[in-house]
Amino acid sequence: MKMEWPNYKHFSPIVIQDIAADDTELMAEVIKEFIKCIPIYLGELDAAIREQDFSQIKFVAHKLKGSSRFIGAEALASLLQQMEISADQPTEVHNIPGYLAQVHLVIPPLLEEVNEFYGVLTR
Amino acid sequence: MENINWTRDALDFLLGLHPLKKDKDFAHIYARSMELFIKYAHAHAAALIRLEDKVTAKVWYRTEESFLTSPLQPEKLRTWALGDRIIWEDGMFFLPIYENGFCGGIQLLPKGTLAEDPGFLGFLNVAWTGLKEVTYLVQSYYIIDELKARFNTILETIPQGVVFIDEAGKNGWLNSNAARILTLESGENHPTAISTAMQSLRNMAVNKEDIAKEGARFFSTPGQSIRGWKWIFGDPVHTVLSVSCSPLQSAQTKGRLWVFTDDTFHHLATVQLNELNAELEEKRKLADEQNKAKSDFLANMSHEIRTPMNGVIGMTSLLSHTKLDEEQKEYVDIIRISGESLVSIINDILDFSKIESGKMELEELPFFVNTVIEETYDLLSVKANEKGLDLLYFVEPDVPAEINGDITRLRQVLINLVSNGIKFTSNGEIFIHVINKGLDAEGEYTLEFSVKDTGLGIPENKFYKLFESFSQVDSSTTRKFGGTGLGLAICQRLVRLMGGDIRVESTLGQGSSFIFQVKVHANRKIKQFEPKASPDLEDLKGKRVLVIDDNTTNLRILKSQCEMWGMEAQVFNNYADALKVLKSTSFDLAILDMVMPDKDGVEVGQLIKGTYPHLPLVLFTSSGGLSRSHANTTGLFAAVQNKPIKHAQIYRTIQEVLTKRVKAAPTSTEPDVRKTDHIPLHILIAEDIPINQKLLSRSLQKLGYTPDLANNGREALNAMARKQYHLIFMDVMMPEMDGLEATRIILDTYPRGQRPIIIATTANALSDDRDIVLAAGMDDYISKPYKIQDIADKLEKWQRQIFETHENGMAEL
Repeated sequence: MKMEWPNYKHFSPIVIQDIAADDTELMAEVIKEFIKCIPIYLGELDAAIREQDFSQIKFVAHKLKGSSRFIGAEALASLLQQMEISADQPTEVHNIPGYLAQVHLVIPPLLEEVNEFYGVLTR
Repeated sequence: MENINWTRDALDFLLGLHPLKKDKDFAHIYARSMELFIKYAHAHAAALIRLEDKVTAKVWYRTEESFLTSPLQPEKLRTWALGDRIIWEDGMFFLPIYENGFCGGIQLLPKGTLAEDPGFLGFLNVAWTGLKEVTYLVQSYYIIDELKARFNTILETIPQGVVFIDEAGKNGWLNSNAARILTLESGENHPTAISTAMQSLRNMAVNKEDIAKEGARFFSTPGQSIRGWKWIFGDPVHTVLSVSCSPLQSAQTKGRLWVFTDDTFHHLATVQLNELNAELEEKRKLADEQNKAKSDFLANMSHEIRTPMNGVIGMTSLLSHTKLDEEQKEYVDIIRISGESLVSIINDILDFSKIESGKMELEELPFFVNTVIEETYDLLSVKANEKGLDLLYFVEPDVPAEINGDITRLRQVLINLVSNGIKFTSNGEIFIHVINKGLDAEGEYTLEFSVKDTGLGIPENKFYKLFESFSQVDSSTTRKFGGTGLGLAICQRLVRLMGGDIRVESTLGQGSSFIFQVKVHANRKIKQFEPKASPDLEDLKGKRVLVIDDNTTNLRILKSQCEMWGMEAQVFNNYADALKVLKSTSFDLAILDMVMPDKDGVEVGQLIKGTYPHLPLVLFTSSGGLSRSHANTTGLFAAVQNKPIKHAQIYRTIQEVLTKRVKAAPTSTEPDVRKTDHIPLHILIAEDIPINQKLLSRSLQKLGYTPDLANNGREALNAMARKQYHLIFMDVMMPEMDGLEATRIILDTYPRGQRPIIIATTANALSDDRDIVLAAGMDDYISKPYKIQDIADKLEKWQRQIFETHENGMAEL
């Protein structure tokens, strides 16, 4: 079913609409969960990188990547994929802080858009 | 009076008493003492008085018949007797005597004025001492005589033979029983005679060598005692003496006391008991060996039979998914059905053997009462649908929701009973009703389950056969309906293991009820893996619902259920009456059954919608969704529910409809992911991320399933221990235990055919990752993000295999 959504740069409402099979209520629930989980995952990533716990970095990056893909946030998902791969290769781990920095840059505007979308869904 | 030499008289008196001490005749002693006393006291008369008790005094001896004939005064005399001085009163002396049990005294009538003579008084004191001594002696003799008589009586009365021989070898004595045993005279016997008699007796014993050995050991140590020394006579044994011998010392006499006890009865009883015990021990060993052999056989056979059977059934299932022509499909179906029947028969026999040999142990884990009934119905719904039978249930509100017990075995009983009900019912319904029969002091509930059908019924004179093993009510039914005749026997034994019993009530032509009780504790710690919304009864309170169904049992259940949720329900078994009421009463919702006489649910729905377009309608149907011929009626119903109807689902549906959270009915422009071949599956989602849980869970709910949730691999394994799942969506990366580890444990724990299909959900779609999950033993994978259609495709791919495999697996329960 065709629904009209505002234009967003950092995620795709069509993806979540497709996955939720046009169930706007489910879409709203998923968006709400995503908004809730972001600060938790970021906190875990920060801590894992500080402690150089590469298996934990890989784990958290993998989880957040999956959640990002469900809402079509491909840019964020791509960054997390790179982080996940680097955490698994000792010669690449030095790239991780850089990826984390980029994640911190991408997330605020993404969250702003996602919050606005949540408002649209629940109007 | 002339001068009396009192000192000489006192001495003469005492000398006169002396010979009496050797006299054994008490009466003579007293008489002679009194005569001497009178003579040397120069008195008129004297009397010996004894106080029998506090109120009785008797004259034992008087020197003159006329002396002291008037009644005595016991009280006064007692006081005197207990005193320690000679009394002078009324012209008489009283010499008190209190010696060795004798209480009394001597009353003396002196001559003339002797009472004033000091010499006389001195004489009296000396004589008094002598008299007291004599009394003491006489009493002693008396006591000894009495004791002698008493012990003689005892020794003659007891059944034992008693022998005493003194150490010096001079004296021996035996009672009459000993005399009989030793063939001697009772009483005094010379020790030599007694010893000779004992020796003869020992030589007659059949165990004389043992006796001699024991005797030698005994006599070798002085001062020893021996007890329970068996002397056995006769072959066959007719007498057994238990002999004891102990050293004895009495005053200056040392000797040995022998006691012979007739132990014949006890000995023979012991011998018999020992023989019985030995026999029992042999039998017990044999039984143990047989039991072990049986258990080993059971275990081996269970494995040996099930392994190839699973192979046959599994291969048949795989074969059925290949390209086959019609003839080949038919042959494969026959093989499959025959294999399934064989597995069912084998499972019954093995189960029965296990129960009979006492090897069946029940689990004690929490489960929901509703769940076990719904799972039973899920399994049998296809068979019920084929015959157009309704599967209904109602659990009374006072039955605890979650109980501790063995869900597998309880389900087995219900499957058996419901399956029989379906088998023997051509039309109508199967209705399970659960009631709380009471709670005891230990917090144990007695729950009564009744499984009622509207089938053939059973003649009362056949009731007794029902629960016998290998018995059918009518042997001709075996040919028509099949069966081993073990199902009900197994049910009965399982129910008894659960603390209850089972009975049947039936009316020919109307149907039967199988009623059983179980004893369970309620589970106070309710754990749920399913993300149930907490029931918000405010949404339903006061709402009016109209129900139309030709099945009166279902009407009753729905009415009770709606009223429990605070709704007002009006129920009708025909549409005409319902339409009449609609004219005068407004309703918030109408529930219609699909299959009804005259007009079906869709036609009735169209009639209602024509007049009341805003009344939401819910349809209960036996087939998944609506059939193609009714496709144009989509949009008519706010929701369509598949039977068997689960109460939690009814609640959710009604709540969603009434709060207008209605999902858009699928139209022809949208993909209809609802499958018409909806086979009920138990699905578990093992996923730690809330977004993923929500998406997968809701997608499955849209497809008509109600999955359970686990947050990691460990929780997934715990869930599997409590419930049998057909399919698990298993995330690979999870905290605590990941999906690969959980899969490895599942493969190790559950044999093929009894474990769920495992579909990996992975965010990595690379071929390496796919290979990893398949190599770990998972059956399939689905990449995130997945759409509902992806999930539906996976279910369609696996559900036929799941159903076939797990029907066999469930039948193994």
